[in-house]
Amino acid sequence: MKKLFEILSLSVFLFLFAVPAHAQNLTKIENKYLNAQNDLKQESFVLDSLKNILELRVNKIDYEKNKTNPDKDLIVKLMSGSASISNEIENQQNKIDLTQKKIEEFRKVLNQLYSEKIDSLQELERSGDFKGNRNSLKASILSFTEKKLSVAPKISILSFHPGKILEIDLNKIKDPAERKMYGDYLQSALTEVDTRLKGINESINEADKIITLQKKTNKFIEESDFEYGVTPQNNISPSTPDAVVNTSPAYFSNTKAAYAQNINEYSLLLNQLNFKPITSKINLDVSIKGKSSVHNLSDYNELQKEVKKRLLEYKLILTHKLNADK
Amino acid sequence: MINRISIFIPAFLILSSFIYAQIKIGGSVESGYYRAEGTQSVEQSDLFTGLDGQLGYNYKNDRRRASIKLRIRPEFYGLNNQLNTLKLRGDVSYFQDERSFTWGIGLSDQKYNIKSSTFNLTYNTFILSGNVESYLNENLPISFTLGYGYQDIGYSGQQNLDLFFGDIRLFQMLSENLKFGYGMYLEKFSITGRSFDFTVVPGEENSGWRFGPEISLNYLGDEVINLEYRFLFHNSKYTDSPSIEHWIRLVAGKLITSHFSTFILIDYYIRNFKYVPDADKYSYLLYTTMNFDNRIFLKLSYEINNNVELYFRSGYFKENLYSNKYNFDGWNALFGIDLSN
Repeated sequence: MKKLFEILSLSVFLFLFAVPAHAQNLTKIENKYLNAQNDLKQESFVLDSLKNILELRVNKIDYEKNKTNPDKDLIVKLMSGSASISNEIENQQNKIDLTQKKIEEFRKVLNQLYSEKIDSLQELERSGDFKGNRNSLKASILSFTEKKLSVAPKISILSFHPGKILEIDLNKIKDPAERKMYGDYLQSALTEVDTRLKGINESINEADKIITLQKKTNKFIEESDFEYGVTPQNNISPSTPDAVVNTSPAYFSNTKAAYAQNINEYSLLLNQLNFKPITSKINLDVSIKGKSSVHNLSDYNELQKEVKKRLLEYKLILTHKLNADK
Repeated sequence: MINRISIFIPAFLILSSFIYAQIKIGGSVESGYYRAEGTQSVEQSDLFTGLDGQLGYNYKNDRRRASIKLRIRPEFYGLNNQLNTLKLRGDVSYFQDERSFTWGIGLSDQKYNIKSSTFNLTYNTFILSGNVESYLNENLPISFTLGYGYQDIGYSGQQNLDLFFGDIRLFQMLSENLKFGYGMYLEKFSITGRSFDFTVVPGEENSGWRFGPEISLNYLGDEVINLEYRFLFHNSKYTDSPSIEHWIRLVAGKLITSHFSTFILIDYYIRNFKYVPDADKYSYLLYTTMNFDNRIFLKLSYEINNNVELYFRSGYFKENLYSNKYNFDGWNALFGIDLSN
């Protein structure tokens, strides 16, 4: 019952939070996110303490049981106390699970808000109307990009750790040997990002070609069928922009097996970079298992383009950090 | 038709209220040579001109896709307009992605008029269908479709065909590029009408079933090749067993360069019906569908840019106009230009 209540509370929280999130002040959400992280630390501390107490009691029970003349009253007392601590541990674990879910939601929202902020600043940078200090504008873009990357979950697909990259500031490293080591680390990360970008560009071109071929084929079939009327046999599936020949979900579900490895990898990559997993164009339910809602080749290509965009952002940060050293 | 248009207009307005709208406008003009050999009284060869106009509206977000499309196509056979045809078609569809399946509904409505100095033939066709594509098992997705349709043919006589149909298909990947599909099609139909001379008592009806397996092969790589085959048993009041139909469709296409593309479509249809005695007397009640004829189309197109395409297309066509007795067949070679936004 309590669990149900907690789930309901979380759902209400998520609902209430999701609706006005965009309207809320970014700083407020950042504070809430930090508070939630602090809550998590405290809750984890309490959980660890409870576990320690329980362990001590279990040891005591074992010790008492192994005695030649065990004190049965004491054992009963310790056991009943242990049961109540076990309940407390379970409750505490539920609390932690809820806080972790909250943090995940905050991360998604913050990620989206940072992206919007970056997009609007970049738009401003591109427009000729901006009369202010362009260096400070660029610094703001970098700052928000770093913030966005700072909430990256620690899953390794890239050989380097995105979080570490953000922490490196070559200008602050005095030891030349250490600076060289970190410089090499950044350089190899940049090379890896470039390699991945090259691969993904080729893949995007290939997918674009197939999508064009599908669209043209569908158009050709539509034209041919339109000339000869309409019958159920040739309209078994309701007509849709991408359902005539190859692009339907059922088709892609098959084809998906061929792309599954890539979808999984891209999903993990986005997770690692914590790049906006849900965009206005693709419905990608990113998880570490790589489960996704990529239903057709167009969705898949959108996913590739999203990964490319995010890698380009990473490249920007890496290049900036390397140039700062020169 | 006006009543059915009244379905499309509210649908259009509802869709218009969505954001991320995308309005598609397109059209084409094509002209060339045709040679006809059918039972209809047109010149054996003459100039053909066809116009095509489209207006569409697409909506798409994370989970939903909706579209409405209106299309009109007048065709002129011969300089003296001995034979004209006019096609009007509207399509509305809505799809929604769920976690492990996609469902959708769609309706199509078409009016087709063929007019010459000697005859006037009208087809009204309407189809409403629902579709579910489940990919719960990603290695074996399944597609279910249920629908209702009717086709009214008006000439000096009349035929009204009503049908309910269902279809189930499963798909398997044979290789990275090759997909195999298989399934069953089932249709329950009933036909009413009247003969042109009222020699038959009105109220007579023909009803029956069409059912059978279907398979498909689909290759998608540098080129696309799609092969479909259906084998249907036909059971009705005016046919004897075994009455069967075969239908084969091959579609292939290739992007030769980033601008040039070529496509071919081949439909091959075989009908082997055994009719009961006196079936001729009830010819207006015999099953007649369009689209089931032998035909070959070839298209070569050159895309000038995203909005303009020039093309050449040629094809053999045979239209079964009514009751398997009247057809219009021949071939054409046309040049055209296609414009779209």
